[in-house]
Amino acid sequence: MTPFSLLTKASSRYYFHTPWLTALALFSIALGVAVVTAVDLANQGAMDSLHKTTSALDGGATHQLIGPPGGMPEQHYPTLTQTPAVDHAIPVVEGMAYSPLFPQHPFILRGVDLLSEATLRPHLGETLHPDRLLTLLTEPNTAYLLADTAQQLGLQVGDRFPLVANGQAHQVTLAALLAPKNPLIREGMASFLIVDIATAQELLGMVGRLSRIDLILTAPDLPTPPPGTRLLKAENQQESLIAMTRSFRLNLTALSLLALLVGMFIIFNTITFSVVRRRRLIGLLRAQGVTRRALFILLLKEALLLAIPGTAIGLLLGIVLGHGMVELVTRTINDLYFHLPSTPLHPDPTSLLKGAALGIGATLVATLPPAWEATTISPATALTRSSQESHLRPQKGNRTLWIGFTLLALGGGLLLLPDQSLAYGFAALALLIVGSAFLAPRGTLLLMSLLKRPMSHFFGLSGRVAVGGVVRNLSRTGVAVAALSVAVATALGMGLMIHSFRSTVEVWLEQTLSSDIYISLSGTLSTSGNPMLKPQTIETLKTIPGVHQVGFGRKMVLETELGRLKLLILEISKARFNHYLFQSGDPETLWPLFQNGQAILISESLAFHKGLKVGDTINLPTPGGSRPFTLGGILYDYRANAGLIIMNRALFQHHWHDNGVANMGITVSEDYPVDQVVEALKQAVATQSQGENLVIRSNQKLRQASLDIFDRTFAITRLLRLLGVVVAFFGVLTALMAIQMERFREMAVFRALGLTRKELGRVVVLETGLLGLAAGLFAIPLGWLQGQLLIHVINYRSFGWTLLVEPDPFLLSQSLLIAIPTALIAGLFPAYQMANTSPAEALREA
Amino acid sequence: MDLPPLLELRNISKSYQEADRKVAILDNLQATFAAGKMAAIIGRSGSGKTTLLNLISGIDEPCSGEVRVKGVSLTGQTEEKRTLFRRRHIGFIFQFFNLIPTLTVEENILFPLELNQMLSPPNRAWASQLIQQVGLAGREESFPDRLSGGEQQRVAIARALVHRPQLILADEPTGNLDQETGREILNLMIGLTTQLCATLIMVTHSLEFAERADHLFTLRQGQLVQAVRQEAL
Repeated sequence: MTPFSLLTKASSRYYFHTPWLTALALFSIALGVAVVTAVDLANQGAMDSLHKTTSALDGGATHQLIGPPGGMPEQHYPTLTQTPAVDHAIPVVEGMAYSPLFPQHPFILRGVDLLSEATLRPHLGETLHPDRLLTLLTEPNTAYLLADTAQQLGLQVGDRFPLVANGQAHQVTLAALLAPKNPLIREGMASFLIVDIATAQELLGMVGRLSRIDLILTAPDLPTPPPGTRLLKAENQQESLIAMTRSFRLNLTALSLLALLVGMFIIFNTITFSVVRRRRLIGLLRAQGVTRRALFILLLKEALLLAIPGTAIGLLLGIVLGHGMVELVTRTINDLYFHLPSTPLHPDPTSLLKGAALGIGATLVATLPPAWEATTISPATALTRSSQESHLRPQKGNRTLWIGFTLLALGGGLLLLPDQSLAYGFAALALLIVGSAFLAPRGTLLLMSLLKRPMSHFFGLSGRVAVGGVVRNLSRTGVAVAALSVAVATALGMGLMIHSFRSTVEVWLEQTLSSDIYISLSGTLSTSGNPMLKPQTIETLKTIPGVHQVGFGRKMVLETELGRLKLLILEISKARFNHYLFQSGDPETLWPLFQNGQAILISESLAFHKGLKVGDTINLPTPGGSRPFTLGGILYDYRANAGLIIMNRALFQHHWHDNGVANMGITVSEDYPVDQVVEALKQAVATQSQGENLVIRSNQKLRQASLDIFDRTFAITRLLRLLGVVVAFFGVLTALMAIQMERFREMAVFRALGLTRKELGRVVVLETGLLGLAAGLFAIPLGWLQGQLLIHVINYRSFGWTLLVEPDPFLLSQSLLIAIPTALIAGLFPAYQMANTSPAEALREA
Repeated sequence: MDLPPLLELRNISKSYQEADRKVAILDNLQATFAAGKMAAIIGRSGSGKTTLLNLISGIDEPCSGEVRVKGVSLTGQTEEKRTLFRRRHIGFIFQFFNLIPTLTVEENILFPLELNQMLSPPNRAWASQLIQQVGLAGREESFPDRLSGGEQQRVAIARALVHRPQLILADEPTGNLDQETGREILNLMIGLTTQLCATLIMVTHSLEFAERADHLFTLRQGQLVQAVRQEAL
């Protein structure tokens, strides 16, 4: 027998004798680890999908020659192939398309030159019979699809299906199935519909033009790119996509770490409780000669024994959760940034290792304070319960107050630093949370002194005993209240942020979408495809009775020196312009400058991320080469986190020589009902527009569609919030149940002295209810502060979006709705158990 | 003139199930205890003394038979009613004190008054007087774990008497104390019980109390037998 085997036995038996508490502690650790791991896996999965997609389809290309929006003349291709530095050149035409049969499965329509592709991307032809290749080249509107995708969609070779590209409906025949051997390539190609380059040009309205040319360059001297094009390194292209989503992924990771922080509080609470509960045993062990060091190590070992299985469960749970979450992350990236096909999640060992390290590390860190405290007190003090209670009483609790206020001040100081980094923002948030937790025990005492009289008045003896129980067990109740209020406040803070964001987007949509009817070519709202309306269609629609005023717009993606940016081209009235919400610049002064093409507008997020201000110039690639444009104003805009440039249509036409428009905004005459005009427009489209798939929506419907996208992009944040609430719920359950179970003997004495079952049950439930009330009340200011930090610091530093609407203060009451019922539920089991245990038995057992 | 019995135990039987075995503790036990008298119950460990006190107080229920206190039958009463009865009419003193660890000395003593809604100024004054009588003046704000064993038992005595119950049950109240302290505690209990004209039933191994008690019972083979003092001692 080793010298400390009995010591270990004495300590480990505690956990076996309290299986429910041990299980809940394990669950708290597991849940915290699961959330962080799932988010990390989902982020990794999404990026993995990006890598796979680009690798699968770019093959061994070293560079890409990117054309302007609308493509580059295809004559550049033969010219490039003659350039000595170019070893291989492969033309690509690419755009988005979808089939009404599979609305949930948008396709990336890629036109390839199969003959030149064979060298760079042999997988395209590796499983095809030469006859099939010939079909693709010779028969119009034939396409290849990955065999797995075809099976998923229920398509077979020879099937014809409708395909909408460039706003036009077509019929496409599935000519062959691709089955590359490399599984990575298979996953990367899941969303691709491969057609011959000429077919793609026709379907996407790019006859005679190419989207890009993939190159393998051998010589160190790069060829000079033709005017209007840009030569980019292939890896830079991928990097720029990854960089676009960095803030989003970082924010997600940070929010998941917030869930882990809440989990840490729960772990801290569990370990503190196990130590506090065994103070007497610790005193006895110390009195028997167990050294402080041995005790400290023992407690850390205990924590490790909890951490290892808890983390293992958490990792498994994280993988399961990650599978669902990767879909949400991919969808959000689709909605906010660029199209990303969803691929199945492969648990990344690095993510799992990170999760394991965090779970075990967080548990050990959370154990340090109670372990330290347990080992620094003298055995005589440890044997005295009242000493630990008085330790937290007001006269001696100033130390915790000072620590709390110091941490809060440090957090505030971090926010005032000129460096606007997101990491500092989250550090400040963490300090705020931990600092507030230190104030909870003192706050609990204050609240109980205020509640003493009303509780006595309304609940009589039970009320008085319940208040007394909270106060006199402050070493346990204080920590539980702190943990609960932190958990509830975090859920509340995230809720406030989501609410403020949604309200802001609603206000912004109301201001920005000022036309009555919107018309666009069909396609998913979130993609950045570039189909144009036919001029004759526009003319027809303008003549419909009730159409008072018409505005035009189109959107495109530009590869600029500032990265990939969205360009919005508008032809609008002064009245609509005045509706925009300006962060910098006066609409009255700006209107003539915008209208005359002397100034462009940018979104707030672009200004924030790139440090741009009014008066600066930015260079944009035009068919005539790079041109400087002056920034006239900065707009509040919530549609593109990557940044948005808004340009007058005339200015665009001048530089790009392109008159196309993709959507129309119609203002209806006052004496015409909007619905009637919508119907008339639909009828006109049905009879006159040939092959054009137009979507005609009232302002209200478009607004709803936009809000639906918003809700989709926030689905993952809501999920994280929900997980935070679940962590909180189990944490509270652990803490409060533990408090009540520990007082079993005390309650038995109450029963022996004459407290009835009902009265005892009421005492227990009232006591946990009081703890819930305290935590709920403390969570209000803390949740509000967290919300403010998330809204004005974290969100702004992540995305550069100012949220204009303050959250509804009524939402704060949610904290009580979460905390009190949770606390009451936590009280029910011990209340039931105590009420149904014979006091004689309880006294004998104790 | 003898007072009517305060407590009657009629054919009390109690057994426990231990795995597959039924262990009989009390078997058709009969006894009466007169009001205002002191009775000592002695017996070997495991003979059922504590079980008997639990049955008398209504903490536990007999398998058969009847417990009558002040003419009121506790048997067949709901647990709630038994509890309310115990709260009002019985004071309990335990071997291991069983003070509420999170209540101060004064709060522990006031607790039964609060339970019985008897926190009137005269009763508070009576509680203060009791604190003085048990020798704990000045220690009102102390928590139980700051007190010695003897001091804790003094608090337990004051707590058992503060609401002036007619029946006081004591389960080896000096069993955990040294001889000197035990004697002090015994004197205190006898003095205060006499002062209140209460009935005291004490399970004890103390010869001293056995000598001073009005009646002496031996619990043997599940039966309570009035013992001849000399024989029993």
